[in-house]
Amino acid sequence: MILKDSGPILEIPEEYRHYFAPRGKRTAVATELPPPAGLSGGLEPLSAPLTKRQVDHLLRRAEFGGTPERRAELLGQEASGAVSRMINGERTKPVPPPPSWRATYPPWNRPAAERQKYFDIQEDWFDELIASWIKQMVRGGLREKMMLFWTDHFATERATYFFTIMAWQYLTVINEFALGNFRDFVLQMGLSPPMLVYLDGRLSTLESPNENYSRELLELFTMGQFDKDGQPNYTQDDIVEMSRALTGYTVDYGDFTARYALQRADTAEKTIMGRTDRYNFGAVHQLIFDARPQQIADFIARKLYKAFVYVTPNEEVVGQMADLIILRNFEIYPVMEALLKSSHFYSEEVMGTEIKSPVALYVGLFKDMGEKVPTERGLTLARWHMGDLSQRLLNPPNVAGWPGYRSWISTSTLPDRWEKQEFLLHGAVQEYHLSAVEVARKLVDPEDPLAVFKVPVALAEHFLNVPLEDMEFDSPRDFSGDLHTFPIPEEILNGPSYVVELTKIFLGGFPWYVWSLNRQGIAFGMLLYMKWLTKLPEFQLS
Amino acid sequence: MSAVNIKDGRFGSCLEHGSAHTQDHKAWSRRDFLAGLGLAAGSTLMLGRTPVHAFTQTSLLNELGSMSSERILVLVQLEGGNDGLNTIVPIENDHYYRARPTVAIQKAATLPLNSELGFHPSMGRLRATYDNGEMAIIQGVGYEDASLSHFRGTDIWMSGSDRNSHIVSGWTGRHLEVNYPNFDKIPLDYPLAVQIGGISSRLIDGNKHTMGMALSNTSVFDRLVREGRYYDERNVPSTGYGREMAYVRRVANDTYRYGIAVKSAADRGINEVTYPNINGNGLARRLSIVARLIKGELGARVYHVGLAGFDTHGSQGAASGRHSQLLRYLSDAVTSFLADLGSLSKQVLVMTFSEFGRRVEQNGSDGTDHGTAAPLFLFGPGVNGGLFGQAPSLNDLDPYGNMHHHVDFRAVYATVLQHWFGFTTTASETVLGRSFEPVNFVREPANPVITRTEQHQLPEQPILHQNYPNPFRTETTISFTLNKTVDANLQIYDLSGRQVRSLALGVRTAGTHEVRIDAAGLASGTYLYRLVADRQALSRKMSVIR
Repeated sequence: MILKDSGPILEIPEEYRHYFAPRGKRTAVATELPPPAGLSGGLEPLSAPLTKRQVDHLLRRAEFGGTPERRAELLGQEASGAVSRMINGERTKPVPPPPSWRATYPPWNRPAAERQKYFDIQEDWFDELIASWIKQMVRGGLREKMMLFWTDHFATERATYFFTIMAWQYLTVINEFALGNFRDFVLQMGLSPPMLVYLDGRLSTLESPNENYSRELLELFTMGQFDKDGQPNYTQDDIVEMSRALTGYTVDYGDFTARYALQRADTAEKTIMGRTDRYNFGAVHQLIFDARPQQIADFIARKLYKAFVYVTPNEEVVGQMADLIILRNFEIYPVMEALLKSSHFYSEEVMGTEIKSPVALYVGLFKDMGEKVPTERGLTLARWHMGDLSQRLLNPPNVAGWPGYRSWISTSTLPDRWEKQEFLLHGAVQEYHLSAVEVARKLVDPEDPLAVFKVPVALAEHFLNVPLEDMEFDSPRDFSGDLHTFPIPEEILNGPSYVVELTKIFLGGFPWYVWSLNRQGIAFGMLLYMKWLTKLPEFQLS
Repeated sequence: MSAVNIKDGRFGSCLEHGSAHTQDHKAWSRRDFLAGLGLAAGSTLMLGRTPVHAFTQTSLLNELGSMSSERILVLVQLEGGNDGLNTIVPIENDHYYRARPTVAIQKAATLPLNSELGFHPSMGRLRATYDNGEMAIIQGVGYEDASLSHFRGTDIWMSGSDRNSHIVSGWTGRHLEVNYPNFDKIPLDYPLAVQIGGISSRLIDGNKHTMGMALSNTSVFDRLVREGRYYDERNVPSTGYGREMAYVRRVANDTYRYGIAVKSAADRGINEVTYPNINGNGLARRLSIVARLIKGELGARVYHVGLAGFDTHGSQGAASGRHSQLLRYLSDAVTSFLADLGSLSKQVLVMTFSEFGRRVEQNGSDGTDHGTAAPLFLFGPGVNGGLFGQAPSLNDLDPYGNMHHHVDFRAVYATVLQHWFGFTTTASETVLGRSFEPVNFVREPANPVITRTEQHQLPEQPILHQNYPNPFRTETTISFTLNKTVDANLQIYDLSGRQVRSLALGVRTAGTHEVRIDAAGLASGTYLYRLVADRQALSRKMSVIR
């Protein structure tokens, strides 16, 4: 698809340089990290059947959330079986069909106006590409969650390569290898035109090898500067020698293929990590995995742990993950499978500790609301709004990806999140079709005489991954109406206090005995409740 | 940027109202938080030996005391790329009229500025401002190899980066970060920067912190307060979840406090003029709120508002039409705003910016496409009115028919930092990455910045410390410790007794203060610096080397 062997190589005409942005600058982000989560369990599988909260945790972390039906299906299953089925399904899931314009190349030999048109249409295509990716996320699961992870790991900025076909190539590689073999993934990513452009591989030649890609390949993509004991994994000389070995490839702007040209390649001997040979592009990728398998496995295990479990790695669990990665020859799915089944993954210490990224916030709400796919306009809006909240899909700030974690939430973005959540729930009904009534009807039997007490709790449990007994509630209004004739049922009064408190907030003064899920006109009250629920700080965690 | 306009439904008020009110009572105030944090964290806060309550009091007093006398920047973003040529029209330029058969503004229609230039006819009120000497026009502002993308262009202007680098933080965010280095340790009760309108918040992001808040429309802060509440940051489970919970609650509480500060300032401040067409003119609406916040002494140093619609690819009109209406909005809004501020306008500098100008030649749809250089405007009594820079030539265009710039936009930023806010050249470089020659549009350049430092035991008498570094080449810092709140002056004399600098520092609180001295203009040699405070004068020597 992306490699071509013959024909002249077309360069991009200089006059179009305006369209290509520089790479983002890497800035040191000093974030204080909390201590690691205690080891209440390692990689051994969780033995007890999944509880409601564990199902919630699994779906929020491994996927983007879950519909009421999906949660009901998983409840009470063994983690082992549930996760195996999830992984098998995700591994065999077909890749979405390619876009209609995937082979529509720039009309370089046509008049200027026609060329301009091609440039002008790129934004529309990109909009379409991202919209379909968001759609895929809403309907998707672990594979899509992994894709988001990999676009952060193998970060490239679309603004640098600009052409949407390259953005599609990039996403296609990410999609293909999301749960695949990491060795093959690194090589294919390195050979993909967007990466050859982004980290200057296309400009790296025999005469002037460029260190950019070789440095990031080691530092950010595979092993990091230091191993887990703080020893350097490579030297500057290794990078220089590697950059020589990585020469030879460039990008043909006629049809956006990666092209090998022997005259650009340095075919002489290089000494890398103590080994000497006539290394070329592919051989270097082989070499680093042969020379530093433990370091690479540690590095990837750590990154996966941070993304799926907790921001500060537990060394023991990471060590077990790394062993498994080596044992399974750098396949990604076995380690994910083991991790998502593990008792450590479900330990109290790590649940609800993740601060939702803007994408997780949006897609999570669509998913929890019953896998509601927005309209085209809704998808475009969602894309821009995620950008306002500082996550532009396929455009992370720099090669290190998004700083993430607490940087997602500030005095500027938190009120903006509130605004946007409200917009999703209420302001753009026709774009998003999010209905709390619909969800509630799936969570609680409308005929249940106690539904009015069950709905507020069910919604809170559905949308927040938090033990309700730990939350502070203070309802503004007490129950009202004729409580003499219709006393609050004993079983409710004797139950947990949060049931009573949430119901009071939910009713806002409306008599409990009149309310019913079958009643017309409850949508507005439900909306108010959803607004309150999503404004709780707890809602930003998962 | 896509602006979401959320219609301000009245839903929600009853639900959260009660909650907010009950919480108010048991809410701990920010001061308690400071005290609690200080006691728990001890030396990490660098509190030294000072009792926490004294520290809290002085730092807050300091902030409050300095608030009303400090200078403010109001940024007006003309979103979409303003057509500079039709704003300040080159009325004698044949190239202009040839390139724009239907879009050009005829000479007779313009409001004369000088023999070469005329204001767009709908800018009558701003022309009066110009005539009063309260408007500076910097011509031909841009940067090398300009980006013609809205997003990239906006990023560049907001971050203050050049074409070939890509900075994530905003220039005013970094500016405020330099000015308030202890922002994270000494939380303020008010935001340092406020953005109103659905615009990207990068501008106010520093390298480490977000220096204020963004409100998507003018009524949001009402809701923030009405629907907000304090959350308990301390009473959280001792798990990882509890830690993150405490973090989000802290930000929510900051947001709420900021909301309260903004709301109460807006309630205190009253608009004293009528802004024309305030319902149609979004900029006027936003600036009228900014006026209330400034009058209500919010304490924010930077405001950012926008006016959308400048991307006039089609039917942009000429003397009348779309672009004309936008310029009228700008003209009405800014002049009303300055009038509304009254005597406070002395402290306020208004500056426009836009991601790019537009192409010289009109396009096939009676509009103009994305271009490069354009004029930038500054307003206010603090401005040295007049024309600066040079109008770009229309004969000498780049290969794409765009003008070459003469003034880098960051030279304007550097002027704002150095002359308006009193940054030294070094501090300005810290923000902008390198130095730029300032443009002289500030009437009275400010004194170098005073930074507040942590204080130790208060002395019996004022102390003047030795400057550091000494000797110095470009910049040094003079610090002194006051035993009580007094009016302080710092003077610098050369050895012949001639006074070379005099800095009226104003009322300064007890504690240690630092004054950065820029060596520019001082020949090498020995100088005497003298502090006059509390009816005492203290002096020391320092040396400049070249």
